[in-house]
Amino acid sequence: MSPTRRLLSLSLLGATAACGSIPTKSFEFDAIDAGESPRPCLIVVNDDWVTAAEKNHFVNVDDDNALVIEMPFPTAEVEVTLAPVLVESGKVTRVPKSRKEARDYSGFSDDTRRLRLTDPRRQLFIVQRKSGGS
Amino acid sequence: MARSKSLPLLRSTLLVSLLAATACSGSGYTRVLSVNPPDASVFINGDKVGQGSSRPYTFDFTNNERIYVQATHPDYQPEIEWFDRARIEQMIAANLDVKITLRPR
Repeated sequence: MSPTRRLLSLSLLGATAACGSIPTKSFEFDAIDAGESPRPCLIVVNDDWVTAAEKNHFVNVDDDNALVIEMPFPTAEVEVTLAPVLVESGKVTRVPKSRKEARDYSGFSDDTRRLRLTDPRRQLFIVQRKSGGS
Repeated sequence: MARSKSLPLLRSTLLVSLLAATACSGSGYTRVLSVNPPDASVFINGDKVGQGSSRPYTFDFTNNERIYVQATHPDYQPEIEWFDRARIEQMIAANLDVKITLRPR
């Protein structure tokens, strides 16, 4: 193969890869309650509860710490669910596997947001107590 | 004589150019933002900006296509509102301010 031809092939391959790649964006997630205290929560992307648990996508578990996730955008919008959890001695007492489980066990409401690539980097959720809860 | 006739045209052109430059300067859209109750905390794009009393706020869409405003108070249900350029332009056309009213818990 001639050098020119090789260069052309590589350029074409590079252009194809660039056009076909999925855009990503880094988002910072945080959660507080109505009194503005940090709330421990699990951040679930596109309803993938297994990956969220495996990758420890928790906020405010052992300290007041936000979570940064590099999120791919295969579609225009990506759904992010905030699942409240309970913490004892710096550890999550039970990792929820659904919104209902998170809601029932923690006493706080879950929340969902559909994010776009062009949305603000910092995503703050304000968690509220379940209605009828203490 | 021809010079004096072209002066108003030149002035109009300059004025239109100035207005266009101002509109495209990317400085954003200023609206009055208020939250009820006024002692509720207000967050914009996840950062606290203060309490809910009326204040002018410039919605700048240079870096993000949407801006979100949150309000919270211990005795009320938190609220979130998303704004994009089109919504703010509609509000400006209708001379509406940004008002968020929290519901008691």
